[in-house]
Parts: sequence; C-alpha cells; structure tokens
Amino acid sequence: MALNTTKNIKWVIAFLVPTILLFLFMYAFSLIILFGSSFTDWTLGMKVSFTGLRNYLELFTDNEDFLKSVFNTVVWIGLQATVHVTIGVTVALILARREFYWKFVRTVYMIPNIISSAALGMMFLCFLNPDFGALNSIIRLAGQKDFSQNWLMDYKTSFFTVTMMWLPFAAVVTILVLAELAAIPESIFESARVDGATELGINLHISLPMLRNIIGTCAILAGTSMLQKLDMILMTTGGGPGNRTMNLPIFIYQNALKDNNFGLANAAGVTLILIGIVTVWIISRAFRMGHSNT
Amino acid sequence: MNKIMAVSTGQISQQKDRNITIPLDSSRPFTQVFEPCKKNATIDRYFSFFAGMEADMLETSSYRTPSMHERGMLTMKNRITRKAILLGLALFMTVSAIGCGTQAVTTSTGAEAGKTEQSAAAKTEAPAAEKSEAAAPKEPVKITYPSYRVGVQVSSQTERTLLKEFAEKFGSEVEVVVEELPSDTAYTDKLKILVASNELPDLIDGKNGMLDLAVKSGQAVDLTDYLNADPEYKAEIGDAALNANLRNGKPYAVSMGRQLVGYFYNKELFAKAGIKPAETWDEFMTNCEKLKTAGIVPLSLMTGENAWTTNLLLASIVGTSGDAGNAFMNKQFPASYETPEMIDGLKKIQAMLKNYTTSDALGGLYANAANNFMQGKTAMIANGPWMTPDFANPEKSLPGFDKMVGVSAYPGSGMFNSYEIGYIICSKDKEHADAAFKFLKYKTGIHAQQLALESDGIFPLTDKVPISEELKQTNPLVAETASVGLKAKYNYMFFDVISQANVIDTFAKLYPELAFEKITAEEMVVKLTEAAARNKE
Amino acid sequence: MSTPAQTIDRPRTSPKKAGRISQPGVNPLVSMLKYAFILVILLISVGPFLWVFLSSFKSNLEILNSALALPARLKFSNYVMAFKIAPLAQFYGNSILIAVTGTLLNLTVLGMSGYVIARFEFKGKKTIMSLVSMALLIPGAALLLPLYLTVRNVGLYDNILGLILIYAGFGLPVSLYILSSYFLTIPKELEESAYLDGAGFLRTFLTIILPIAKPGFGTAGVLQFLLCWNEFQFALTLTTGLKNRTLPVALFYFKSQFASDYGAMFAATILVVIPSIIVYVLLQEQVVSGLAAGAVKG
Repeated sequence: MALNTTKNIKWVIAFLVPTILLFLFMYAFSLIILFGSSFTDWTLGMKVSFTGLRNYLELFTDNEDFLKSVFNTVVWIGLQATVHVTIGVTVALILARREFYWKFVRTVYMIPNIISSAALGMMFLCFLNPDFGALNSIIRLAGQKDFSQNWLMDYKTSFFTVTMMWLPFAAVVTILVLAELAAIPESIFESARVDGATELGINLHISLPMLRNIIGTCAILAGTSMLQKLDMILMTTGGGPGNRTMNLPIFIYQNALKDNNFGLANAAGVTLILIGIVTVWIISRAFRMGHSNT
Repeated sequence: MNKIMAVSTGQISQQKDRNITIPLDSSRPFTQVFEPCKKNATIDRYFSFFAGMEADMLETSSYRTPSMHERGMLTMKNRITRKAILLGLALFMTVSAIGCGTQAVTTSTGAEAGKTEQSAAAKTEAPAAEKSEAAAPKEPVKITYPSYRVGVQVSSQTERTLLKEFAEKFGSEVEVVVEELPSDTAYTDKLKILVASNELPDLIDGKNGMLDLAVKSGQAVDLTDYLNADPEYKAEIGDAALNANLRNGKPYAVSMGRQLVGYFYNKELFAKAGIKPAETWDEFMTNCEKLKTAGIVPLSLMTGENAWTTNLLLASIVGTSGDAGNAFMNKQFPASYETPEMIDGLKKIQAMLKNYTTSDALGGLYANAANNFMQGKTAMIANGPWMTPDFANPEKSLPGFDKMVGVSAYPGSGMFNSYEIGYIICSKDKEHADAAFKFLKYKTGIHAQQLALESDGIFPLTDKVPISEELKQTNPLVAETASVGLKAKYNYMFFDVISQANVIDTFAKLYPELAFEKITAEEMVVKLTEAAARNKE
Repeated sequence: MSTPAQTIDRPRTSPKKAGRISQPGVNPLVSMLKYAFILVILLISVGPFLWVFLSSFKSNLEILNSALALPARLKFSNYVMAFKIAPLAQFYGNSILIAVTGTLLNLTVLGMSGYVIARFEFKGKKTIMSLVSMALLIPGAALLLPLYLTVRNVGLYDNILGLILIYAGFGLPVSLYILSSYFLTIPKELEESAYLDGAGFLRTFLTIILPIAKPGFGTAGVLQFLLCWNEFQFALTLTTGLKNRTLPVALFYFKSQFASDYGAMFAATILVVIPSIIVYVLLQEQVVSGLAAGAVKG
C-alpha cells in the first residue's frame, strides 16, 4: 500500500525532524511538569512536597465542582462531536452545490469563528444582557413588554445559552468538508446523476462515505476543542450560576490562578487529558480513521 | 491513525531514546549543553523541584520498613520515575540547546559552529555586562514595574503624569521600565506566573493577594530600614497606614491612598418616593420597598467580577452591626465566616438581590451597575468617590446628573475607611531595591497623594494633604464624602482587603446561588470558610 | 472529469465550469427547509456582530437606552477614543508579523511531516500521532508556567520570535490532522508515475504533491492564522514591552475595573475583528482557487 519507506528513509526522517523538535520544545517539558506535579502539594509561595494520589482522591471523592466540571465537559464534547459536526457537514453539502449564495454564506458563517474568543465572549455578554441587550430588546419589540430574562445567569437557561454560544457555529467543519468535497472527482457525481440518483441520495450514498476521514477529523477537532473552552465561559458566566456552566478548563484556571493550587489543578489537567484520549480513541474507532479511501 | 492512543511508556521512551543522543548516566553533558546558554538558574530550580519530590518519595518509602516485595516495587518505581525524570530533563535541555542554537543563528547567520556558540554566550552575557556598567554613576538603574493603570482604568491619567514627572526628575538615576498589564485579571495572572518562577518585578502592587504571595515566597523586601532611614517620608505615610498591612509584624508594603466610601443616591428619585437616606438597616429595607412601589429600581448591584457593589453593602451591614461585627470587618483573614452578623447580612443581601435590584445584577459587571445608576435607572449605588468624574461626563451620565447625586454614610452611621495595600519591592539586589524605593517614594509621597485626591478622589494617608477649597468647588461630592466620613461612628475595611482573593471569587460565585435560593445564608458562610481554609499557611 | 465538451453534451447540468447545481424538479419542501436553515445560520452568525458594529457608532447613552435603534448619526469619536486608549497601531503591526510568520512556519513544518505520515509506513508513526494528539488535549492553563520557563530559558522571552514558535506549536496538532488527512485523499498513482518517470522524493513532493494539496494548506493556513491572530493569554505572559504585544491584548485596555464606556469598547472590538475578517476573505480566495484545482485533478 504505502510508498517505499526504506528507499526514502533519509527524506522521511528529514521531514519528521522539524515537527518532533517543535513538539518537544512546546510540550515535552510541560507534560513532565503536568504529570509530575499532579502527585505533589504545590501551592504558590510554598514548598513542593510529594503527596502521591492525594490530589486525585480529593478531586474524585469530595469536590462537587470538579465532578460537575467533568460532567459538563463530557456533555459538551458529546454535543460538539455530534450535533455541531452534523450542522457543519449539512451546510457544506448545501453549499457544495454552489448556488448563487454559497460564497456569501461561507464567509458570513465563518465570522463567529474568526473573532477571538475573548471578543466574542464580550459580544455575547452584551448581546444577551437582560436590560439593554439586543436579544431581549427584540423579544420586547415582539410584544413581551417586560421581558427581562437573564439568559446567562438564570439556572433554567444558563447551560443552554452557553452551549448555544458555540454549538451552531460550525464553519470550520464546513470549510474542511468543502475542501474535501472538491477533491471528489466530478465524474462520480455525473454518473450517479445519469443513473437517476437524487441529490439527497448522492449526498447520503456517495459524498458522506467518501468524507468519512475528514468528518472523523472534524469530530476529533470539535470534540477536543471543548477541552480548551475557557475564554468564552470566563467572559460570560465564569462557570456560574453556582457551578452550572463550569467545565474542566475553568476548574483548572480557578484552582491554579485563583486558589494558587497548582498541584490540584494539574491533577485535574491530567484527568482532562485522559478524557481527551478516550474521546479521540472512540471517535477514531467510530470512523475507522487513517485508512485511505482508495 | 487508528489506535491513535496506543500510548505505552515503552513506546514513548523508545521513541525518545532514538531522538536523544545525550548520555543519561552523567551530569556533565547537561552543563556542557548549558554553558553557552548561561541560564542555569531556572533549570536548577526545576531540578531541585524534582529532587525534592524524589527525596520525599524516598522518605515515604523508608518511613516504615517495607516488606521485601514492597521494597522491590518501590525501588523499581523510583528507578522508573528517576529515569523518566532524567529523560525528561535531558529532552528539555536538548530543546533548550537547540533553542540557543537557533537564537545564535538568527543573530549571526552563516557563522561557523564555534563562533555561533560564542555569539550565543556573548548575547546572553550581555545583561550581566549591562548590570556592571549600571554601577557606574552615569547609567541609570533599570527597574521593572508592571502597571494595570492603563487604558480606561480610572487612575491611568495620574499614573502617566507621575511616571513622566519621575522620569524628568530622576531619569538619570533610575529608569522605570513599565510593563502594561491591562485589567486586574491580566495583572494578577501574570504576576502569579512570575511568583512561581521567582522572578517578580522590582515594584508591584500588593492587591488581590499578591502581598502574601510575595512575602511567603520570600521575594518581598522588608522596608523597615528604608523607612527608618527616612523619617520625613515615613511621616508622610503615617503609622496608621503602615500598620494596616503588616505581615509577620513587618512593613513590606507602602500604601498609596485611603479609601473613604459611602454610597451615592439619586436625590430626584428619592424625592419621588418620598424618602431620605436611611438611619438604620430596617429603614433602608423599607426605603427599598417604597422605591419599588414607586416604580423605581432601588439598588445597583452586581455579582460578576469581584461582586464589588454588593460586597460593599454586605460589609457595611456587618461592619455597623455592633462591636463584634465591626471587629470582624477590621481584621484581616478571618478563619471563619460563620458569625451571626455575616448570616444576618447575607439574608438582607439575598432579599436585595431578589427584590430590589436590576435584572442584570446577577453575573453583572461593574459597568452594568454603574451605567444603571448614571442613567437614572436605579436610586442607589455603593461606590467610592473615584466615580464622581463620570457623573459630570455627558458621555456616561444623564445631563446634569452630577447635581442630582448625593452621598451618604451607610445606615447605622458606617463608612469604609480602608488603606490600599500598596506597593511592594521585590528586587533581587540592593542596587535595584534602592532604585525601586526611590520610585516607590515618589509614587506614594505627599505630591502623589495630592494628585490622587484631586484627580481620582482617593484620599491622602495623613492630614498633611489638606482638602482644598478649590476641590470643594470643583468636586463637591469628594469633599462631602470626606466630611461624612469624619462623622461616621463605625469605620471598617473592604472584603477585598480583609479576605483572601479566592474568598472574593467565592462570594461572586455564590451570590447567584443565594439569589436563586439554591443555598441559604447559613450554607453560604460555611462555603466561605472552606474557601478561606484553602489558603494554606 | 467534466470537460467542457461533456458539459455541452449534457444540457441538464450547468454550463458553468464548476457546475454542481441542483437539478430541476427537486422537492420544493426540501428546498424551503434548506433555505430556512441557511437563513437561520446566517442570522445567528452575523446578528451579534452587526449589533456590536452598529452600536460602535452610538454614544453610551444610545446603547443603553435604545438597543435596537440605528445610531442617530454616525459617531466616529468612539474609534478615535479607541486609538487613544490603547496602542492599537503598533499592535496591528505586531499581530500581522506574528500571524503571517507563525502560519508560514507552521505550514512548512507540518506540511512536511503530514505528507510523510500520510504516505509512508514506519516504526514509531503511531507514537508520533499519539503524542501529537495528546498535545491537542493539554489544558492551556497548565501550559502557561512551563512554557514561560522554556521560552525564558532559550532567551526568547519578550521576543516576537518566541511567540511565533509557540503559536506554530499550538497549531501543530490541528494542522497535522488537516494536512495528513488531505494528503490521504490524493491518489497514490500520481506519485508512483512520477517515480517511474525518474523524479526523486523532493521533486515529487514539491512539484506534484504541493500544488494538489493547496486546498489543504489553505484551510490549515486559515485556522492557524486565526489562532495566531486571536491568542491572548500567552501574548501577555511571554512579552513585557509594547513592541511585542499583539492586538487581542488591546481589548483588555477597555475592560479595566471601574470602566463603563461601552461605545469605545465596541469600537475596539470591531477594530480588532475587522482585519481578521478581511484576511479571511482574502485567504479564502486561495482556498477557492485550490478548490478549483482539486476539482480538475480527478
């Protein structure tokens, strides 16, 4: 299957070395610190001491915030890897027909993904403000005179509202899939049309199977992006009300930079990595990734 | 890419072994690798970090006599850990060495290998050379100073003025290198990274828990000798301010101002509801009810950020509740929040959050609370005189708003009287500490206090700076705050001063739960105590 | 492959060269649903942004009291203020330099390894992929301190080069995924015939593979660029002077405690966001031309 490795071994190595160096520069030391210190009591301004599994025990036995964070993180990964990716792929399949609006939609859809998450958080915070925010103003205009829902801080709506700040905005998935769709030979679609297949049928039976790898990649990227979701939540709810919208990155941030407890934060960080590994494993299994289409 | 995650240690180390050429059994290569870099300090720190860890592990293993089997396991574990650590360090150092190489290449492209190393060494030695030159009288000493007083921060103008003046007067001796860190969060986040790596700048602001971190980590400089050597300056600061923020009985921080804070109210809205500023908290609650009946939202509260305006009210309820409550609000770092005064205060706050404030109070920011008040949407806001310039600003407030506002002490005759924690010197050597002290002196002396009073409504530390007739004309609310403050029966401090930074965050986090009745006031104080306990001593 | 000749033969398909146009006789209900879906997507994507954009021309009073009204008159003072409050002009220059170099570095490094990983079987490949995947999972807050120490030790603290390296590294997993999975879609026959013609490894990669892989590079490049452009925490932690700071840092100049002016804040947000939209639209054309190239190759 693969091209001859031994013949090109020098090139293969030469092409890998820069990536390996960059990886080591960025992550090797960080990973060692992360894993190592998760077994220590490391509080800012104090001596570091080895405590074995105590951090982990503390997290999993009596830390409500942590358990809630894990739960929310897992739910958000699930939603992102399924609903979010589905929305993105659907838009891509519609745009792939290149009807008059396709370029426009592709650009506009990308806007929320272009904006830095800090700026986007700030925008949503103002947009959703119960008092002068646009959303409630529209609803008031539509007739509900005294409408003043506090979307972000009300227990009933906060989780949903926060989720909606990223769930529908799948433009990255869309452009990835669009690029891949363009690579499918036109002749395949032509012959299907000649055979009388409908567009829906073509999408379901030809496009989607051929997109398997890229959809899997999208699911991994989208799912794992939930392990880094910090700014948006920090700018809007800060994990509240209570711990309703807390996730692991928020938990880690608060423990490290607010409570000064780097040991506990890094134990949570290790947990986060493990959750991520399981996520990647499940998704790559589900999509049988890594096999060429041809 | 299927089985992407088949990570086994064997695989990793195999992979690593292949890429790393440094022998692991000798320490020499480390130093060899690092000589051109000359930046061993941090590595040493990390080395000792791990060495400490290892020692601890060994200790635990010899704590009780383990069985042979156990012992075997333990030493094996140790060996593995040690190997992994050494491997990791070797990796890191190779990377660093490569980093040195790249750096050298960028500074001298096309140089031969030996030369490259030399130039790398030369470049990294440059700062040292600079230092020794600085000892010569002509070169000014460079001190680092991070500042959050930039952008739209209220005192940014004063800060700029002081920096400029200082550069004009003392620029030949001391050069202040300012690092702008916009917003409080950015400021504390970055300083915490610098605490952890033992690299705090020469002069920092001690707020948000930084004073304690700087003292605990041994980076703060004891200012006793500096102050004693300069009695005139010491008098400008005054004993009260110096004693307000001692740590281990020593002055590490010099305050730059005193905050007198009451609350502002909208006279027109008060007249409409037929009320005047309340004398007691019961009357305060009745007033709120009257305002509400008149269709006016009584209070500008917010629970986002540090829950500032809400915490001011809570502190006042507690601080005016009698001797016990007042003592509580005047002592730093309470071990327990489970006092009757706190519970009673939180119950009142709960009622206010539920009935007497705006819809955006929960999770709201200072900006929301302030705008609501300045647009005449709410009748009261608890906040300090630094807000008064905004009242006269037509961009921010209703036209003529500054004439509508009155200032009052809190019910029960209470007023905040709190010294800012102030500036801390964290220099590594005497030369820099001296320079930093020179700047600190300028930044907190009489002239700076005068400027802060006139432009930011921050009160001076002692009565050496009088409140001028002119100020009474230009900003009557500031003068009024001062006179109201003098009459107040109870004085107390901010939660931001008496509580650790993470307790403040806990307040902000729990207020929405309190408002939605997910927790009771009694449960909330327990959680606050727990948060306080997380600050290990 | 649809050559023009074939298109003319078959009048039912569009005469346009890209011609993937829907057929006549599609179920109208499906069409309606489709358009409704696209419309909703458009509205939620652009709504908040447009509102902030309009509000940036209003005074604070207008923003607070009439959220939905158009600005009474276009008020540019917010923008003037924004430039006064934060050193925006300088940050623009830095951001552009860092984002462009960071993206180029990232694409070069990951283009090489992505190709090798997609095409060759070798020992340790899975380990590399696993480790790289792990990089995707490390929480940012946990990276802050170690990376600060690393960057400081190699002498790149407060240096644009340090930020460029760090950003290239942040994009490492995403770019590797995108590029290697794009390389996987390229038929191997192309390279095999190139080898048969006597071309070496490097020439095959540069002249055969790279041109075809343009869409992959385009998409990875766009994502990498946005990452470099928008990152805040490390830009702040790894630099000290204004000469090395980037644009997102500027946003926080408007967010200090006891600040309440929304107008200037909105104006600053727009100023930070607009360039990235422009860059995206420009880069996107690269992706489009890449798309066309991809369509031809089958």
